[in-house]
Amino acid sequence: MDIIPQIIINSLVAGAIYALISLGFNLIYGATKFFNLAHGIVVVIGGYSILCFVKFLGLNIYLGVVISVIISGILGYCLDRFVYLPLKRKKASNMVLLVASLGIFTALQGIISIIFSSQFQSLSENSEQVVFSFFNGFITETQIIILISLVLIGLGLILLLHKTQFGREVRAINDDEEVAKIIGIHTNKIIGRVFFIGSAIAGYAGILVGYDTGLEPTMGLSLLLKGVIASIIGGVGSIYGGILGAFLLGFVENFGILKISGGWKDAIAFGLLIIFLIFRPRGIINK
Amino acid sequence: MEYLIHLGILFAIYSILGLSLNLVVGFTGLLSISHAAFYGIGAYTTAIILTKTGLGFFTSLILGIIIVLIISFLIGLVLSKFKGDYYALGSIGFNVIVLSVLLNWQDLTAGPLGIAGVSRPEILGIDFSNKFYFLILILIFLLIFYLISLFITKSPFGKILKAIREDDGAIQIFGYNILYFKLVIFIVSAVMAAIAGSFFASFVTFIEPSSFAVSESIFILVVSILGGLASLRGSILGALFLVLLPEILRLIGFPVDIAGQMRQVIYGIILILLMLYRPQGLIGEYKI
Amino acid sequence: MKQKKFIILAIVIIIIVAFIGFSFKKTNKNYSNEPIKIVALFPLTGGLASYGEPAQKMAQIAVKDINDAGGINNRKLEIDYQDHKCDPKEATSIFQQALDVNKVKIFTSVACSGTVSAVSPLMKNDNALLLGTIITANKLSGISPYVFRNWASDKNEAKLFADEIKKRGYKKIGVIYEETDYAKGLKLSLEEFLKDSGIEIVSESFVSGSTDVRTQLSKIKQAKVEMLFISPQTVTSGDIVLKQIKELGLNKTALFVNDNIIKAKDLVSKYADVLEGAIGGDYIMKRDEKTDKILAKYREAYGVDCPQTNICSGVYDAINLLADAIKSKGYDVAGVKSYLESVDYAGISGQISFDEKHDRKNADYSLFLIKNGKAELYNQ
Repeated sequence: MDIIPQIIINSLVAGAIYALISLGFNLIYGATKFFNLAHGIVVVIGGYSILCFVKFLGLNIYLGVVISVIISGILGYCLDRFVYLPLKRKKASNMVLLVASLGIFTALQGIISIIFSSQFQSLSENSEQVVFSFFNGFITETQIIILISLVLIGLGLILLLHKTQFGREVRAINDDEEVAKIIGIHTNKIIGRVFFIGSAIAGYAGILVGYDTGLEPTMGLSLLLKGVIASIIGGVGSIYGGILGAFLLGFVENFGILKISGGWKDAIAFGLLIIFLIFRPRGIINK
Repeated sequence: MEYLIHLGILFAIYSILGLSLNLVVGFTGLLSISHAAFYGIGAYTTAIILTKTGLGFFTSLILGIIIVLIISFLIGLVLSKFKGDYYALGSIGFNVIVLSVLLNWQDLTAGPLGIAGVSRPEILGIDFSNKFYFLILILIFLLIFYLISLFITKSPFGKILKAIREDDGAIQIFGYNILYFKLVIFIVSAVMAAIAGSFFASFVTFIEPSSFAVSESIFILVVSILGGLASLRGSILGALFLVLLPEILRLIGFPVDIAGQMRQVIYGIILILLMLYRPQGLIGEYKI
Repeated sequence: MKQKKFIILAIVIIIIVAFIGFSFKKTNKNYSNEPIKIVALFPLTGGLASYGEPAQKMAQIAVKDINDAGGINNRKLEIDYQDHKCDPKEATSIFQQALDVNKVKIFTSVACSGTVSAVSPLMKNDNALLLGTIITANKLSGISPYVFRNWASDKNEAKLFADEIKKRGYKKIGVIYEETDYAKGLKLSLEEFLKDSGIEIVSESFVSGSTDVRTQLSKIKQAKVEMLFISPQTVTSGDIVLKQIKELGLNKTALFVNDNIIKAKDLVSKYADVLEGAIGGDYIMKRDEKTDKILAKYREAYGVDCPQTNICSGVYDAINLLADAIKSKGYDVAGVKSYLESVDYAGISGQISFDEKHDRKNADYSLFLIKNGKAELYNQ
């Protein structure tokens, strides 16, 4: 069955994208304990930023990536500062935060649609894409970059969380925000930075997706939901869990549609989520 | 005048949807983002029956009720094991799964090609192709549902729902089987949404799966929250406001091609502002 | 607390009343020197805007020519251009709105067969009529007594493909199509013509709006087909499919493409290497000095040549046909219908008359071969 290597590659690439999204999402969830659905639109904004800078303004691609990532991070930071923080001060419940994040998602998606039109946009200029072949499976240059990025960012994040003062403070907040406050950690400031980092990663994921398949204003919800599924089945709040969950999702999705029509992909993904929610709600890691 | 009738029908459909979701979210405190699924099942049942069989609108309503009863029972059962935000995510999951079925069971639903030519009801010799009669018919249903909702919420059953919303741990100690209550209200609410769907199918005459995706569930949620959770009149108000909003935009002169997206922006901003400054909605009594 | 609720309620009621007031101002008056209105359902945005845009521009020239020559019985012709976005749902609501609120009865449209099949059940009891250009799906033949097709049915395209496939001796072919009336319809027609040939067909589909068809393509690749037929609905989805065909290394397979791809000159040149040697089908209309003269007006008005000359001449003729019909029989559906059924019109796109299924007579497809990024007529 020589289609298997290709499906494996497809699964790995899909898993890597989901993992990148869940990294940021989990980071934010760990610190705030609510489902920030606006994460999905930050991904999209990252992709559209690079469209702006590289395709429309003609900037050098590396510069464009850096700027787009920073913009995404700042966006996340602002969302926290101007919406979530005030809400938390009013003792808002998690559901309120979730609905507010939904509002942010919807509003920003509308704005992007207006500015860029609902048309699909492709980031790759010409039809030239460097393609490599492994055992009958084909992988493009962009896809290899996706995989490498995941490894680097994942490692970077782990180092950040375990080897730096900042990381220690974040983990303290994850464990118990009240206690962290008591021992003198400036929780609001740290959380703001967590939003920045998580959103920056999200924006970067958006750039990669843009180069891999293309951009559409409405792609945020689907990507976000996959990232959330990955996080939950991995064990929400856990970096390792998110990555594991993401790859599990990628493989189940792609192998699942081997025999049945591709239209069922989303149903398979959510079916997996529901199975985990029923039988193992703490995820693979089981925190 | 025709135009007002058209808006009136839309208003009635979304009022029913808003009411139905309010029963679950506002009164029972379960954040369900899945009602578009039941809306869709009702719509498709009617569309398929009216285009493929000789049966009438009311038969399709009854069939729709039976189908949704079963499906919402199963979904409600699974969902009731979840709490708070997990409930929301699980409900989104079910919405997506139902949508996938509508998309992929092509022998039944024609999938993305949609079903065209759904006719207007004809009962007792009255042909409801006339929009005015259609409006009257759906307003009658709205009234019936409003009264039913009123009855439920003012009854002892309703009081238990509110208690579940406030603290379901405590109410369980008193010996109430909260699963039963959650399920019943979920099923009632789903059936209402399905009937709204049946009217929708007959009204627009062409339906396709994308009308029943998660974004539609979110819209119904906005209707409920805007009007005011746990306020029946609030849902009616919310529906009125949100149906009129695009028309107001158009009158102000927003170019047609961005009107759709502008609506999304406004819905989003409404949600944000509501959460920040008035989580109980316009005239609601419950803040989530 | 009660006061606040009251104020909110009052504000809302005021808004509603104001709104109702505004709406009543918009009532439609029907005086006899009011313009004659036709609604045009064109894909002005979306994946086939490359058809809708020149169609609209050409239609505007047609309207100007008609009005300059005295209009329709001294009333001006006015076209209300609406964007169906190649979405049947959108088309249905525009159609219903035009029918119910604006009391329009005569419609014309361009492309996206799905939009026509969605609105055709709404036409009954002489309430509306539609003359469509570049709508090709086979299922539209005779779909409604009120729908006329100023184009060829793509059933012919499928037959030409089938004949060529059999001639080349392929035993196993693949199809990847978009789930729309047109794109899927073409695949179904092809399967119909290959029914008893013993040729194995591996087919995969994708939904409109998909950005990733790699799994479908991987499955086709695994099946080791000798030829792949690509049937997307729009230029956008065609772009995605071709890009991923290249990425998956499927570009060595022989390709057949549907008429939306072959018409998309930019796409064809962008993927010149993948499409080298590919076979496509299209319906070409007649072109002579009469046609050129009118097409020159396009260039004169807009500074560029019409990018899709068949659509331009087809639309020009469609508008003129409808204008002539209304001139002769009045703004009346039954009248226009009988006019079109018996017409024999010398248009700039050739001689136009309709058969009993309301398809344009003598309209036929031809096969094309793509060489060096360009499509040329294929002489078998």
